[in-house]
Amino acid sequence: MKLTLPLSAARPLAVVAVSSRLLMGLFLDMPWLYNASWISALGGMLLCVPLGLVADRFARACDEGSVLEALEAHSGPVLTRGVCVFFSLICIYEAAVTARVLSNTVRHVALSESSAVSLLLPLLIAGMLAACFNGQAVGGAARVWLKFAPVLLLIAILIQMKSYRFEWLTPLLGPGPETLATGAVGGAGWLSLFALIWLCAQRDEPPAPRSPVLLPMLVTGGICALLLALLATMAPPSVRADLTRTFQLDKLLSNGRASLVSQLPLILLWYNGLIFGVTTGLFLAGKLMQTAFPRLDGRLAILLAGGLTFAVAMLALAEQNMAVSVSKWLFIAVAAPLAALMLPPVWKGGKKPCAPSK
Amino acid sequence: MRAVKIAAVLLATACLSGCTSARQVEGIAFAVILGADLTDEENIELTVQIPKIGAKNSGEDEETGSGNSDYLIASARGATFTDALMGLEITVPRDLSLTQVKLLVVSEELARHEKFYNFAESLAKLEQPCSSAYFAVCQGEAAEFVREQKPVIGMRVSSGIIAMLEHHHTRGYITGTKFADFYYQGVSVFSDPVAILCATTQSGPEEPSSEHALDGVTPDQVPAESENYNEYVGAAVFQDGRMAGVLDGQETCFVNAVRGATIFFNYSLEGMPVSLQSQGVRDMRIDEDENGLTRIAFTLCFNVIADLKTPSVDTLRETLRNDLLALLRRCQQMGVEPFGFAERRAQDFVSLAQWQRYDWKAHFAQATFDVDINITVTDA
Repeated sequence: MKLTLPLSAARPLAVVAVSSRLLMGLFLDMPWLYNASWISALGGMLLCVPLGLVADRFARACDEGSVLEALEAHSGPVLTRGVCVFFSLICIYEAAVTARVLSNTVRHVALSESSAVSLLLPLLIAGMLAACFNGQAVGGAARVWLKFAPVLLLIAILIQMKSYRFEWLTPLLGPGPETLATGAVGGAGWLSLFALIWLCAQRDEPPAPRSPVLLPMLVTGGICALLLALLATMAPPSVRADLTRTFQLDKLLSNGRASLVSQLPLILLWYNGLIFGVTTGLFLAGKLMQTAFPRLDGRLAILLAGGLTFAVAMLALAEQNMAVSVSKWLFIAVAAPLAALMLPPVWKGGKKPCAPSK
Repeated sequence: MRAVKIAAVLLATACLSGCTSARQVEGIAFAVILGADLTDEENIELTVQIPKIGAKNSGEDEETGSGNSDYLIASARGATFTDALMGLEITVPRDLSLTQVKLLVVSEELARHEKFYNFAESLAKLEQPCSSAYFAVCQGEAAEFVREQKPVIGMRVSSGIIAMLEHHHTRGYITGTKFADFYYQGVSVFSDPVAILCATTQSGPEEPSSEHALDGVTPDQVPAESENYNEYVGAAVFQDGRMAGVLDGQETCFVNAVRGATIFFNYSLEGMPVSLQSQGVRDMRIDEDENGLTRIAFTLCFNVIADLKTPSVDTLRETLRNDLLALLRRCQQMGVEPFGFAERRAQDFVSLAQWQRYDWKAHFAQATFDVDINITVTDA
């Protein structure tokens, strides 16, 4: 089975998966950004602009076919496949971190006494099964979800309408410019996963959109910044508290003030966003593995990715401190290889046609 | 092959946590009130009220003391909140859940003790927290208060508490503080948190202490009697993780008004009852004068409802202003700032570090006030 992801399906998938990862990273994993995390989201968005521009330039140069195959044609199979293995590992790590937060959510909302294995395994099985239906199905589900999500978000906002106090957005720079800059680098790393999804996509709809990467990336970053700002107006910065993931999760899902039941729309949004995050990570890891090793069956690749994700999620590697440490290098890890592969053909004029889709 | 795939998927469902590890409602004891006291040996005592599943209203049984009440009252003690909670889990014959708690009551003794901050933090960081509950400080024993909280007007305790506290909050003499509001405010670097003040009293004083209905009234001083022994009036103010003082009913009305809540309350002007509706604060300015002293200026707006007779607006304005200034000075003396001024002042700073260096508490303690009262007379 060959894993394929049409560009039209990749866009909604990227919006759902990347936005939940960005919110998770900046709100749950970096609570010390306090009420200025939205500025870090905007900073991350700005850092991603050059990457988006290069990706767009490269995309315009190859009007049809798969981006990965075009890169292989330009840079040679060895280099491209090596980069694919590296990106596959990044996707597995990100899927593991997301799966761990997803299992934390399930534990927090309902099943406090369940073991980590019994919480993680079903989620990963569900993710693997979904990914095995191939990119069209996963992306199609994300497209349908994007039609419901704004309505649920509106309900969640209306439920908490009385809690918003805009003075809690001040002092504007919260923990200070240096901390916000660290947050922006992390934000850029999570936002740059957008480029990995686009990398695995292939064109299915002529004519090509003018900006397949940059514009959706900016829109996603902008929406996340808005949501983070809204979250920041729900409670004053908890400067004197030890901000654990569980504490932040409760703040995110119930704002402390509403019982979890009345926040069902928000829980649905969060839970589904993370499910899409895990599924996307597994699918991308499988797809990139298959590109690196073309004889590998797609289902086997996803199974392999699922197994590795489970192993990483069970280790301390997927915990908050480690995830934050990795986030400092994630943007470089994604952007540098992509720039190295895409810039030479772009500088040459980028007129070489892409390889046809198989 | 298809059958094998279907069988594999069905087998996989066996490990779905939602099916295997779910807790059934019958197996859970949902507490609706949680009380906390400090024992003589400075341990924590927790008391919960739990509705019995399938129980019918049996007020007669309660009166005869046969123990067949609709509610189970259980208490346990421990060196910390967590230890006491473990004791409760042992004594309650079901899986104890605090997720449906509607009211958290802490005795004043515990609220003023150094153990209180750790207690509050443990409560805020429970795996399945009860932060959406209202938060009150009890003058007296919280355990007795929990025992006396009964559905006197024919409602379940859980619904009755919410209806009652919403009613009291609309009248302004309590703050509608939920535990999350209290805790978030307490761990922030802005204004100090406040809690609802309550007490169990079988009979209040024979005569009112003042010509103002709420002036000087705290829950143990309500000149009234009813089947309901639990009274809620006033506010407990906190500073640096423990209770610092008490505000009476009238002072709480002013705190609510300055914090921007819309409340209706009765005020007595030279013996004449006046119905007031707060309309928020406008033109707030907080800055430093030439001597470096903080100057807080604002206009507090009220609608006056002319029920029986239109009061003298100038006299009313002056009386309200004097009462408000007295409250502001009292809070300065107690070292608490529950009005929300800090949030307003923090807007002039760029970062939290700068704001913390500014030391708002020291500035507030020395602040001068320029308060104006705006009154609109209306017939409704």
